[in-house]
Amino acid sequence: MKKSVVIESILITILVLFSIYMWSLPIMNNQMPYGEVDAAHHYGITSYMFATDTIGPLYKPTFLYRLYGHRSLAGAGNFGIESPYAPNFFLNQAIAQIISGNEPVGYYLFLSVLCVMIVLTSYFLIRKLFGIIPAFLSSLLIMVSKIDIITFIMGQYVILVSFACLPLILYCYYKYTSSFLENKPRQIYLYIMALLIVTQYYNHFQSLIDTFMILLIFSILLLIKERKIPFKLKHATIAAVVFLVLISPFLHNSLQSVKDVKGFGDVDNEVVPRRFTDLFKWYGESYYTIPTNTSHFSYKEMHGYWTLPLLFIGFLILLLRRQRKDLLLLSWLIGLYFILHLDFFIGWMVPRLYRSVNDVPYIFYPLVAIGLIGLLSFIKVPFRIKKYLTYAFVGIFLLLFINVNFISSYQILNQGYAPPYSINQYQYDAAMWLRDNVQEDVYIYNKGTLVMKTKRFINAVSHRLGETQEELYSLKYYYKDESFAASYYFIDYSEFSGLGMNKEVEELQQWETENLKDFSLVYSNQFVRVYDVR
Amino acid sequence: MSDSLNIKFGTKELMFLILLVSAIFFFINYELVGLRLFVGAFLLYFLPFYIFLDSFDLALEEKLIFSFFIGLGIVSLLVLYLTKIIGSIRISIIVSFIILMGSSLIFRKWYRKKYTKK
Repeated sequence: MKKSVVIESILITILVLFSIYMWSLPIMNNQMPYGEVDAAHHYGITSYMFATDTIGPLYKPTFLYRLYGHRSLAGAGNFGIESPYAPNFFLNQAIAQIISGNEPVGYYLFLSVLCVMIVLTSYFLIRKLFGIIPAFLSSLLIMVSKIDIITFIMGQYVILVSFACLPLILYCYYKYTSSFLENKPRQIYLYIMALLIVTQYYNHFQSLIDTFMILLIFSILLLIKERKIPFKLKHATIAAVVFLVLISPFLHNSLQSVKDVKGFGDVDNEVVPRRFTDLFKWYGESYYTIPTNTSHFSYKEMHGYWTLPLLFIGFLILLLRRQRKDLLLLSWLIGLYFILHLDFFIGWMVPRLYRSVNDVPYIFYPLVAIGLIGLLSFIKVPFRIKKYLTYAFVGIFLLLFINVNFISSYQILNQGYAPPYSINQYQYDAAMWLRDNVQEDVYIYNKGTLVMKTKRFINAVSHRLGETQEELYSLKYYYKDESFAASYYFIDYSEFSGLGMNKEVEELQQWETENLKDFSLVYSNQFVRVYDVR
Repeated sequence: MSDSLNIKFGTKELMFLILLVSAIFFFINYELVGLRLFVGAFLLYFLPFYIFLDSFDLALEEKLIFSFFIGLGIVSLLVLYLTKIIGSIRISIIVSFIILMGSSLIFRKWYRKKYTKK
């Protein structure tokens, strides 16, 4: 075996294992469920499958129905228990929990593995097309991509897993079209591509927009360059049939959720007038109206300005060279530009297009790495000196990478999720008690839990709906249902105590003594008490 | 300097070594939970699909990487439908593994018999 193959295999193994290590730091540091926004309900759906050992309608459990039933398959404004999303992602996570035998650690560890798979798939594509050094350097940048880390913490894992398939899909199509154009068609690549798009669809079907847009543009560019349609209709039809058969069980759900997006989008989102100047920006003005951290759209914050010149050089090299492999990456860049500007072209709402922001690093970073190596081709020096220059360039790249990109990303994952930013052990134990001892459809009045996301996780772990009095009233009004009476009181001192809020602890103790003295205390640990008030 | 190492292992040995290192990594960092997850995911999501793809004329690294991603889609679909029939995710995982391994082995045997590998 060649020495270079062994060294490359060792390097990529180290890179992938280190990526998994880094992305699993939050769960290693504190073995409790964590995350923002969608993280809790994704955990809740999976955990419910794990605990009940069955797969029912995703919003059937009361704690999910009462919070998400209005976004069900029944359509905007109607309540229902069927989710518009395919259950496959959640099922894979439940399988990981079952196999590992540990509910939170198995879940988050498998998530870390899946979400860093883009490091491997991107390496694979760029290695096959452009060589080891660009592949390795771009994968290093992807490993610490802040857009991905923020998405991971926000709980929108599905889009990361879905996009991890994209480089493989593009590789398969590239291999097929190349073989076809050379009159030795290898349709196996097209059929594998269909299966990979199925995996992509099962995780998050919106990434299919990116996939099909890039494939379409690449096909058009090949048609122009080669003056020949780059595929055989028979092969494409078989691949399409494989794809459609495998997604058919969920197609209705997906179509409904597309309709829902319009229904909810019109209500939720600010309409920003189209601006011609947006076409000259990577992200138009309307992106800044999305209720998210605007640093997402800052090149400096997400990628570091030092990569920008290399990105342009990489782009120019591809544009000037225009080999088939260059056209593939150019199609990716052009396709992504079109998708990110669909609000301008066809009036789509940006909060949905925003999902494709995750696709940005996967094309930017290979261009940066190609730019770095391409820079050397402009310098006319003897081979021996060029070799040392390559080492020097890679060394400078690594220094900038570590200082600008790596350290800050590592810190986000290493320091972000200690309590009170995740559920604490006392809350978790009490939530597990609720899961084991309390009827599933009761409502619980939560008093004392300060942080919204930990309250969401108490619900997700207990599989019960626990809200403040005001929130229960609001749900009662929203669901036009008079049955929202709390059967249990969940009195939580853990966050007040953890944050040293002694006055609030005393007030809560006083409230508990005055209001709950006539009810039975059914569970108690050092900081959480549960009363039966039926 | 020669481009070949004076070590007596080939591709299979290298793959085994990488698997072993990965298993040790999962065990050291995540204890038994990590090791169980690594071995379980390897058996369920990877191995049957690798055996299936091994019938075709693909490069080793292609078979390795495609297997896991195809597995992520097909396993979830199979377990989903088996659970609807059997009523238990846990039993469905075992049945899925048996079905996938069995069908991959049968397919490979049939394929090799029909199209002798060059």
